[in-house]
Amino acid sequence: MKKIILAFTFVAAVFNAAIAQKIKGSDTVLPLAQKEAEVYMKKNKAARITVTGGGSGVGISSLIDNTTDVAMSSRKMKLSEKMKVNDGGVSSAEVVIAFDALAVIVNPANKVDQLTREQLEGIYTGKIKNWNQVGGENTPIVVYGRESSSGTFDFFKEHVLNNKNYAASVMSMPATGAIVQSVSQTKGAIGYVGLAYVENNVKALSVSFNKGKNFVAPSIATAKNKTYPIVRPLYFYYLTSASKIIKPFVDFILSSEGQTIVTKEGFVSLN
Amino acid sequence: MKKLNIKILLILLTLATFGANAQNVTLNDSTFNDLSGRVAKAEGDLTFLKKIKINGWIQAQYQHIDTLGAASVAGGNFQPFSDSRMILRRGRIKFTYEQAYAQYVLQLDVVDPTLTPGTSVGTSSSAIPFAVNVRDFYMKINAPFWNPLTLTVGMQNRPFGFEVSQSSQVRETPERSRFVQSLLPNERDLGAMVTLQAPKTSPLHVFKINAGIFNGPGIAREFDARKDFIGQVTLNSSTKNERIQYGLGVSYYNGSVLQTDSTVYSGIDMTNSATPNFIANKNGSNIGDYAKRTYYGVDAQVSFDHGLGITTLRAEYVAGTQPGVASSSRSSEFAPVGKAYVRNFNAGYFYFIHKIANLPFQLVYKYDVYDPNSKVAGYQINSAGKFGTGDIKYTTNGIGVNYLASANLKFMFYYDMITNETVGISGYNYDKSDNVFTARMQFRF
Repeated sequence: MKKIILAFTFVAAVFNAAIAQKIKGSDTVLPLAQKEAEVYMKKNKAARITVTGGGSGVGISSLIDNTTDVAMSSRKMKLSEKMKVNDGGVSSAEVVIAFDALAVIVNPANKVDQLTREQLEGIYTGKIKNWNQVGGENTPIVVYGRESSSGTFDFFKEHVLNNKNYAASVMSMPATGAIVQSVSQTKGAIGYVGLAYVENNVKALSVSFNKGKNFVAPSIATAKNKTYPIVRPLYFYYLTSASKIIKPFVDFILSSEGQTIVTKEGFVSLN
Repeated sequence: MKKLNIKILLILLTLATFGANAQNVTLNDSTFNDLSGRVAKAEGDLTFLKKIKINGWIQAQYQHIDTLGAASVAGGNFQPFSDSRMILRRGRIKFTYEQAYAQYVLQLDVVDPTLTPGTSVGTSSSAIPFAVNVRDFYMKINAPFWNPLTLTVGMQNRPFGFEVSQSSQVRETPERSRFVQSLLPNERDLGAMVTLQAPKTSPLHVFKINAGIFNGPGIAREFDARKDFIGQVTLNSSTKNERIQYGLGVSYYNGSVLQTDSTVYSGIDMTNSATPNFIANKNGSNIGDYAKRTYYGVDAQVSFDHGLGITTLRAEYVAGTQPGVASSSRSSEFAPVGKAYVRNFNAGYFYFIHKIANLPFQLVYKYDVYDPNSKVAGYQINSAGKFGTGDIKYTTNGIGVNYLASANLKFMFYYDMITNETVGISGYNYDKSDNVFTARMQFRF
């Protein structure tokens, strides 16, 4: 009897280890993945999912190094990264799990409510240095951005700055939460964060991508109806060889229940 | 008591299996301080350890060549009475220590030195003379006052072309091209190099400039008074949709090699095109003078991600002037002995690599050519014209399959089909049978 019980316990331990999953990467995707994992684990008692941030680049590097099962990313995997995955004799699968509206935030005390893409480009490339140049008070602009390992950094540069170089004066923050905190505490500050991170202590600006003809505020509704212009897909990457273990959780996120969580967490659902 | 033990064991195993739930633990100040002190120490230790990186790889292979004792650049010449062998081609271990503005690199290679291409081998039955050689040994300093500037000093890869600096652990073929092995043997040299590359945040990050002064003889001791200059500009980028990645590079080598003989063969008299002659310049002042060693190179790489997998095309072309001796155009690693031969050469390679989608297999085709004396060809090359085996052109077609078993383990099956130019020199008036099959297993960490 003792042997049977021990054998059962051993099998349970092995099974438990087999369904443990590590998810790592984008700080933007982090709160969503954490919530999805929390709900999923409640429904599947045997599942063990740990979710950590660090940035899209860090997540993808970890997938290449085989130190994570899933890489969360707010940018597409680069071909050079894909080739490194392939060097290990495996292929990676890409799944879009949600969309994210990228909000431009300022301190609530700032009187500026809207900016054009050109003005944002001027601010982030260092040509516009004072809020009075864009209709605000005579206050120097303190510009916050993400580190270069961040997918948000790349996306903002590509879609808002038209691939122009960030000014050297832009302060690189290690995480999205740090941008929110810094902007909330600095009167002349500006930053960019995923919509899910926008709280009452910061103000999200309306933006115009048609040279000021119309400005749109970031929201799930405006992202869904495609009137808000700064929207990007959020990705899960995993090795196809591990799909049996990963897919149940991915399928849960893609299910109607998972997509409801997407909306509740401030992201844009797929449907 | 026995039953109690079983119950305790079960409880412990269940806890271990499903994870312990949160527990209420009372910690007093001293316990907390002790724990936080330990955590701080562990964090400090971890920070130090994170600065050290160790990686390495070992390549063991079986090879078969068409003829007993044939000469080969596919891992070295075969023993006189052997047409097959098991060898340890490379055994590398690389240590890197990184801190804020500096990097220290030491790479060691455990190898049988008699396998070095071009080295003659005896029939001795003594044990394999494995030797530990230093491959990389340099420091890299990032300028704290200007981020784009880096200075690398020590034994390092020469910044010329693409294949020279591509690590053998990721290369899709067993060996580098014949011309790379001849012009820049062992890839490394002792010198100082500056690198300019804008930070990742800049659109100019795609460009990289390397320029350095090197001894010239590679990993061997310097034997003359002149230093060689090597410069390179590269561009690496990808399309917005990350479906195509491409790279371009131009390289320049400007060096010289000491002459130790009064006779130097340089120009070629083509008055009678059927029987050209190497022109001998016989002058006592040639001793101690220098012969030009100049290379011009261009390289390109492109990778496409498509439904059938990832296809990579890679090519490089090099031309220039290379000093050597009658029997060889290989760059000398010691003061040359005998008459100098200065030749105009051209060389190149082309790779086709396809990683099959969703399968751990990579298909490879490679063509490489090395014409050490581009001014003469075929039967123009003969002893009467003072030409030697160092003037013979070689063309190699290679096909292979790589099985990428895991991130650590790779199996390579590769067949080199080598064609030497048919010339008017005894032993080379036909295409020698020297095709080589290589089956390699590589483990890296």
